[in-house]
Amino acid sequence: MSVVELAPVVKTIDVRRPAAEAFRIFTAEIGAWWPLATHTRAKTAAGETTVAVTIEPRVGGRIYETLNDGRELDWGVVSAFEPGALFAMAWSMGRPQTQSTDVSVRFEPLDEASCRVTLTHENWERMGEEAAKLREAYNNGWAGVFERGFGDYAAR
Amino acid sequence: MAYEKALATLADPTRRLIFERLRAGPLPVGQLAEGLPVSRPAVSQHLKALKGAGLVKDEPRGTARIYRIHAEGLAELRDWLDSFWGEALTSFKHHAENDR
Repeated sequence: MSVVELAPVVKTIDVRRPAAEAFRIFTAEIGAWWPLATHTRAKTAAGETTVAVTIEPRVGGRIYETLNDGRELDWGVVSAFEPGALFAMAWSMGRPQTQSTDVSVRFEPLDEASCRVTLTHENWERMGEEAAKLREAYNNGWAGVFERGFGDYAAR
Repeated sequence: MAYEKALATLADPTRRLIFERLRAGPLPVGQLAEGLPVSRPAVSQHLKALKGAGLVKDEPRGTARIYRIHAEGLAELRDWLDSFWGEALTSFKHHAENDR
């Protein structure tokens, strides 16, 4: 049925960190954990690489990536910023803000040392052609992920 | 890729408007055209394009045709987004639990 086909994308993961810390790491340290080689707007074929991702910690703040040449590419605007509980953004990835999609990330304590993180992506069908570009960057980055990322991970 | 055709089809603002209107439920062409800034024949043309991209389905009901969302053309995009976010969250968990 139509409603099911357009249902939000929902992903859940349990993290061994208190909710407040998980929220801080998710937002303040996004540049350290985000898969920069595959999940950005940088045109890797044109020599662009992403060196940083920044979330401005307030409602209305920008989310953007910084390229190796210093240019900033917008990802969207913060729509909820409740430390330890909820982060949400209007995720546009270069499209007009009117066509933005809604991503929310909820942090719920499981116990004192761990939490459940639930990401919900709604209205994703508004992604438009930007999704095709994003996916292209994603596919081009795969070789790098396996050569470097997995190698580093396996060597731990 | 099927989803590229679907996305290119939805790049047109009128088509996106029609598609989003169908989110609320199936409608006949006449009702769909009400309040839209384009003629009914134009709406029919847009519906044909949406149908060709696997985004809507139609079926006869009496003398009218009823249109409903059929997001097969977007299934691939949805699957891709599902893995996109899955990988991002896995990467987050790895960093949060290991890099202190």
